[in-house]
Amino acid sequence: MSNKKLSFYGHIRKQVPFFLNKKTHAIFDRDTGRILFLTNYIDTVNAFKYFANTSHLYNIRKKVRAMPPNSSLTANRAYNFSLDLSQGGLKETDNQIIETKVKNMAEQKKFRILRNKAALLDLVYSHISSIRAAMFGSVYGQQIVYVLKHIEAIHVLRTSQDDKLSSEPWSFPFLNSYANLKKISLEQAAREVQIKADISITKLAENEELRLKYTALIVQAGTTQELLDIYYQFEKEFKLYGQL
Amino acid sequence: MSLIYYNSVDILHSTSTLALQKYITQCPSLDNFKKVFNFFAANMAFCDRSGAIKIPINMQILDFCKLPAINSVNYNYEELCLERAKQLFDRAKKGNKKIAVLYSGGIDSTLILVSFFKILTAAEIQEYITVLLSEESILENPSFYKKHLIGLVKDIRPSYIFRHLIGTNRYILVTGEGNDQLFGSAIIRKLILSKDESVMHAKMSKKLLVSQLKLDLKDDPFTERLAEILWKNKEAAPIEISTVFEFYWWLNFSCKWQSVYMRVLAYLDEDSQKNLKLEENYTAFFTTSEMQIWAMKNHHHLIGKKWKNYKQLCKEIIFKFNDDRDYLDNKLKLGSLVNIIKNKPSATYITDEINYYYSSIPNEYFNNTNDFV
Repeated sequence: MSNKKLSFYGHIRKQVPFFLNKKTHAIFDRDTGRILFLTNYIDTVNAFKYFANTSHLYNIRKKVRAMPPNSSLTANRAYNFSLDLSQGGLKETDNQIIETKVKNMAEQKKFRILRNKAALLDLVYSHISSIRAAMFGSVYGQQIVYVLKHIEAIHVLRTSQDDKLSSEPWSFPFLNSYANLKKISLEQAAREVQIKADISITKLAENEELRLKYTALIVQAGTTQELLDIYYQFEKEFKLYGQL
Repeated sequence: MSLIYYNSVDILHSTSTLALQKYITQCPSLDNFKKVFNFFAANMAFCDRSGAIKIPINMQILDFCKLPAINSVNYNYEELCLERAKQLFDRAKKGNKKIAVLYSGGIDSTLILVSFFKILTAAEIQEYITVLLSEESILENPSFYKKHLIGLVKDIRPSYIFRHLIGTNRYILVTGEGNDQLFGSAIIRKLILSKDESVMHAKMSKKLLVSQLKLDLKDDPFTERLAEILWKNKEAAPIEISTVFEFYWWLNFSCKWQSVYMRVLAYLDEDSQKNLKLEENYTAFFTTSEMQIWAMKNHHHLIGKKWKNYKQLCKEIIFKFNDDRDYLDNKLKLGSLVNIIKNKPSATYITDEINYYYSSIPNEYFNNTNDFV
C-alpha cells in the first residue's frame, strides 16, 4: 500500500469532525461482516447502499467505547478511523467490536476504496451542513416558524385586492406580529417575507444540487485517483474560486 | 487563437498538482507566472491591457476593455454615472428588456441603483428594473433596502439566479464591476495592515515593491524578477504614477480590468452561455471609456488620507440620496461576489469566440515568448 493512498484518507478524515456522543452509524461489509466506516451522517449511509454490498447499524457508540485501549480504534480517537489497513479490520460481535486480520490484498483494496469514498462523502456533507446551518435559525423550531410565515405570506399575496383581507390577529398570527413590530402593513410584511423566502429557497436548491452532484460523482468513482480529482474539484468550488 | 478569460485556480493553483505539472511541461514559464497569483489573488485572469507585461497565455483584450486614449471628459463622476444609467435604460427600452442589477448592498451596486432611481420615474422603475439580492445584501445596507428597494422595486429576486438570467433573453445583466479598478486596489489594504495608512501616500519605490512581494512569495528566488516585471507596467503608464496608492491603483486598473469584467460570466449556465452577447445582454456599469478617462485624469485625488475614505466620492453621492450618515462615515469595502459564485462550477477558459470550456487548456493557447521565461 502506498503512503499516498493512506494520506488521502487521513487528510480527508482530519477535516471532518466526528462526534462519538452524537448519532453514530456503522457501515458493514456484508460479505465479511467487517466494519467499513463510522459516520455521523445518515446521508453517507444512504449513499453507501447504492454502491456497495453493505449493511448499516445505528448507534454503535457503546461498543466503540468498550474497545480495549490498545486497539486500532478507541473511543477517544474514533474520529480518526485510520486503521493499519495492512493488518487490522474491525468486526462487530454480539457484545463488542473485535479486531480481525484482513484476509488478502483484494479485500484490503476493496476496503480502502470504500473507506475513502465514505470519508469524502462525510467531508462533502459536513461542508453542506455548515452552509445550511448558517441559513437557518438555531432557536428550536425556528425553521417551522419560517415555513409557516411563508405560507401566510403566500396566502396574503394571492388574495385578490377585491377580497377583503381579514385583519384579525389570529388570521395570520406570524405575519401580523411581524407587521406590528415593524409598523408596516400586512401586505408589506408579506412581501418582505416572500423575498427572504425566495432567497432561502434558491440558495437551498443550489445547495441540494451540489449535494446530489457530489454524491453521484463519489458513488461512481472507481479509484482513489478519481476520488482525489473529485476532492480537488470540491476544494476549488468551495474555497478557491472565492479568493478573488 | 486566444482567450478572453481563464480560471487561474484550475490552471495554476497547487491543488491541481497533476494538471499544473502538465501545463508547466507544455509551457515552462507558467511556473514563474503562477507566482503573480500569490501576490494578487488566487482566482483572477491576470492580463495587462497596457501591453507592458507579456504573459504566457494568449489573451485577447476585448475592444471595450482596451485602455482608452486620454481625451477630455466634460462630466464629473456623478454625471458620468447618471449618463451611464440613461444609456442602459435606453438600451433596455429599445430592446424591450429589463435591467437586472446584481445588488450586494455595497458601495458600487448601491450607486448603480441610486443612478437609476434618480433618472427614472416610479413607473419606469417598476417596469424596467429588477434587483437581484441575497440575505447579505439586505444586511449590508439595511436602510437602503427599507427606504427604497422594498417600496420602489416591484421585481426583487434572489441573486443566486444570475447564472440563468441571460438565457431567458428578457434581461440585461448589470454588475458593479469596474468601480474598484477606477478607485483603487484591495492590495493596498494588505499593505496598510502590514505597515500603516500613511504608506499610501509615500513615494513608490522598487525596494518597497520587493519587500511587499517577499511577504507574499515567501522569499521565492523569482521575487526580484517579478518586481522588475511589475515595475515595467508602471514605467509604461501614460500618466505619472508616483505614490504607493497610485502604483497599486494602476496595476489593478491595467491588469485586472478584463478579469473583473469577465469573471461573473465564467459561472453562467449553458443556456446563458449560448445567449451571451457582451455589452448587449451583459455589461459592467463602471466600465465606460469616459469613466476610465475620468479616473486616469483624477488619479492623484482618488483616495483621501485614510483607507476609510476609499470611494468617498461614491459614498457621498449615495448619502445625498439615502441620507444614511452611518453608511457614509463607516462603510468599508467588502468583497461580495464571493457569496454568489462560491460552490458553483466555473469554466476553465473562454475563447475569443465566446466558447466555454471546462477541460484542460490546449497547448496552442500558451506561448513561451513572455516576461516570465
